[in-house]
Amino acid sequence: MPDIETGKLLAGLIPGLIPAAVAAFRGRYILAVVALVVCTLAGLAGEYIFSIPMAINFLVTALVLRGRRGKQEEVSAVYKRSNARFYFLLPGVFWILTFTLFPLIYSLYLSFTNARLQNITRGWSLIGLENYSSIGSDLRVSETVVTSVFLTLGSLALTLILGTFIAWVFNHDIPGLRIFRSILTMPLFAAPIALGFMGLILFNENSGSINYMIRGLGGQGVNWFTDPWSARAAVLLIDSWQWTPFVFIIILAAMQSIPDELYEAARLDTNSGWSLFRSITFPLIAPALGTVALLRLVETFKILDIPLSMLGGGPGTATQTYSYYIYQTGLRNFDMGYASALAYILVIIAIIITTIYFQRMRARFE
Amino acid sequence: MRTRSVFFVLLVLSILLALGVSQVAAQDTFMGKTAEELFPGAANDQERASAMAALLAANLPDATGRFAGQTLTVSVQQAGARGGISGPYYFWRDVFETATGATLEIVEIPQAQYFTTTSTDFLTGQNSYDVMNIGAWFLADYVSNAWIQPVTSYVGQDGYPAWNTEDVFPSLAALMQWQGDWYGALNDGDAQMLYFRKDILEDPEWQAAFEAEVGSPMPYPIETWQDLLAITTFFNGKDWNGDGDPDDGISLHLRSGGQGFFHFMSLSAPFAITPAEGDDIKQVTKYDNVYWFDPDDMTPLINQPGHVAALEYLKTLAATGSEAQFGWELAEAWDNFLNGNAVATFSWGDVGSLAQDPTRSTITGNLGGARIPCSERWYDRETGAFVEDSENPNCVGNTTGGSWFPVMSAFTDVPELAYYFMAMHANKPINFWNVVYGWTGVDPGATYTLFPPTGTATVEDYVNAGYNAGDAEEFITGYGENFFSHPIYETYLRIPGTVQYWDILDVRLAQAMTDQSTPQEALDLVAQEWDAVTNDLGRDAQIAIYQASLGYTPGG
Repeated sequence: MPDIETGKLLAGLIPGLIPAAVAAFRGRYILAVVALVVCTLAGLAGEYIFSIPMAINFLVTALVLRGRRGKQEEVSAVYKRSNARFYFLLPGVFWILTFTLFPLIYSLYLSFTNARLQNITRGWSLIGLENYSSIGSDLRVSETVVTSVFLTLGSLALTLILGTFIAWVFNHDIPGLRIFRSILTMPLFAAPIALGFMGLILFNENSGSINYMIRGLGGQGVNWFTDPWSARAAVLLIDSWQWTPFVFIIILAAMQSIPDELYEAARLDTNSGWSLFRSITFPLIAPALGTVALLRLVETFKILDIPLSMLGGGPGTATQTYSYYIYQTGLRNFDMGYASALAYILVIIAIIITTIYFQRMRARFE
Repeated sequence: MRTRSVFFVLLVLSILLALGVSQVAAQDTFMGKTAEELFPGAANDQERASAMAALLAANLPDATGRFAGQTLTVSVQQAGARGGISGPYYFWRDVFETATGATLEIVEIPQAQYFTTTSTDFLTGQNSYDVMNIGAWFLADYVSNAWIQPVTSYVGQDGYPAWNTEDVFPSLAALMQWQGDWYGALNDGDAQMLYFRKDILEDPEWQAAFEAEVGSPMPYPIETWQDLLAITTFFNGKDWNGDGDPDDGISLHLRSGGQGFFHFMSLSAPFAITPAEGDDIKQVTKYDNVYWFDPDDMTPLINQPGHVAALEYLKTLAATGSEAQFGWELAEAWDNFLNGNAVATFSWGDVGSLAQDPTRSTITGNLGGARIPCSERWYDRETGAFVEDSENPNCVGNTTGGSWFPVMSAFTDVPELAYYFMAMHANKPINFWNVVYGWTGVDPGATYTLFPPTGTATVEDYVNAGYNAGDAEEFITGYGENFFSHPIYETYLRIPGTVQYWDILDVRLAQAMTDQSTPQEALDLVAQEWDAVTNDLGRDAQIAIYQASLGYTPGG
């Protein structure tokens, strides 16, 4: 059995050998040496967690760069002019491989392990599909999915209806529209975590301005932080307030791209604003609405910041979303294996939704 | 001849005067620095002067020769330069830098993120902090992952500020140690006690009104939870402070993530813990002096009838306060009591000292304090039945809270400097100064902060720091009784995963408190989730650590 230092050395050397061999085979000897040295150092620094992404990067680099040895004629005509353009690609390739592809692959690996903080010193082991099978019986998952679905559908409906309505209003020739348009987009630039704290002040049951207004109108203050559904509604309202301008901007752009001639021709038959909207505006903004809906769907299902900062996921688990639970499991309880499995379920859901959407869009345009 | 004599007398007097002046000047500076230079954060001259006096009494050794040029990085809960727990580190920073020649960097981390942030720092190998100010419930995770190192070998060594481990309350000292080694140094001492409005409860008119309405005399002094409930029920909804609005009986902070679950721990202990039979009533057995798990197999006890009864009681008690309590964090609940809107609360020592702050409190001079109440009804697991005895209630003390104390990173490059810092804040005059100035958030944790016969402090010590004499008497006496007068104490959970166990408890308690589930359902869920955590962490390993933390021997 190798000791720890030898193990780390091998953890860097073995992954490094692959890109080094490929680079050497293609005549890139300097690259081969650099790959081997860097991967070995990365291995010594932190074992596979550092050396594998480095090795992947060097492998891709070795494959992308034109070989100096071998049959030049096999190289595509695109590669024949110069290597310089590939060097420009390297930072992007490095970024994607290191910060997108590697975490994706590594977290997939973790999802099949019992990796967690408390057994890091003892090491972890592969446990097959145990994490995935636990998800079905995890009460927190069903609780948080209910909240996530409520927030996703609620926020989607509210932002689409409000955003479309405001865009329709702003699509008319009204004085001062530019100023109002700028003001309306301001919530988009706020950090969600800050909005959560703002919500905490606005919805405060004793001193918050929302309850103050409700009482001023003769109503009774709402128990925003005590009643589970009121708490969810408060989160929903803050999220919708932030994202309605996003819908508004996209839909307004779509509305403004509709030729006036269509409306002019239609007005020969009817002057009803609703008929014009239903027969012309809506069908023509539908693709934009679909895109916005998809983006909002995926984005809202991931909501974490606002419920976290506003209510700490409470009362109880009332505003704990699925993403909140992943965060809690991975970054507070440090149960990395289970958190990765939970996250992969979310990725699969997002992929399914996106695939369905693009299939429908393709069918529509074909 | 006569002129010469006068000349000599004047000369001697001049020399004596010069020596006296130089002596006074020397006393007014510390290593050549004045109080103004050392305490730029002092609120006023009185605070600055008392801090200087404490510093001069602290007798800090000059360590510039050993530490000059070094840098010490300390992490602490985010509360600012005059905030609780973090404030003293800023206040005494210039002193530390003067005494050591080193630089002190203070990194503030929000409390809710503290464990996550520091743990991630270790996990990713960054090791940014030399000293971490941690809550006692983090210790098991830190020690079991070998992130911190013991400081036992430094304690008592020359060249460091002196502090006496014998001064620390025994129940708190246990929290700073692990398997006989000291990992922490004295700083804060947490326990929850009862506070009430003495002026209202001792008012004959209110006592008569209570008797007229309830049909029995007001149960004052408050001895049991049942007494407290009777009082808060009576006062809730009445305008007893004369502001024209109905006022509250109790003031609690019950928001998820707002440390509200600590209330349940303190309150439920006398409902759920029984003393051992025989001479040593503090002995931990399978049935006695245990609160969290069955020490034989880690079966959660949290859903036992005693715990459930306590949660039912807490719901009833909370109903005698504002509905907004369920959204309150610590400061909001304190302020409600300090602003004179609630007749009682139970919390940490901070309330006692904050009650003296005119910017926070309108009840100065009217504070009442007592140890945490006992219970007239409790569950005996061994017999499987409730016991009811109003004459001899079940009394269980607590060390509920974080008792935030500094620990030393196992990866620090400056361990000696780190210990100097820890010892400086544990030093008697400095710690005592922190305790008497309430804004520091440092609660009494050493006997010298208590009144005789347990301690050596005097009411004047507290009055000099701005306390009302009556309030100081009530607060410090009650706080001391909390640590020394109870026959048995609630055991502190000191096993890996405590943060996770308590997060679960916090969330499910909030569900029960907001009627999303019944107390029994909520605590059943806690037990179910705790079991899952125990299995994940390794049941056998957890059992061994839990038994060691309790001093429990199976079959013993």
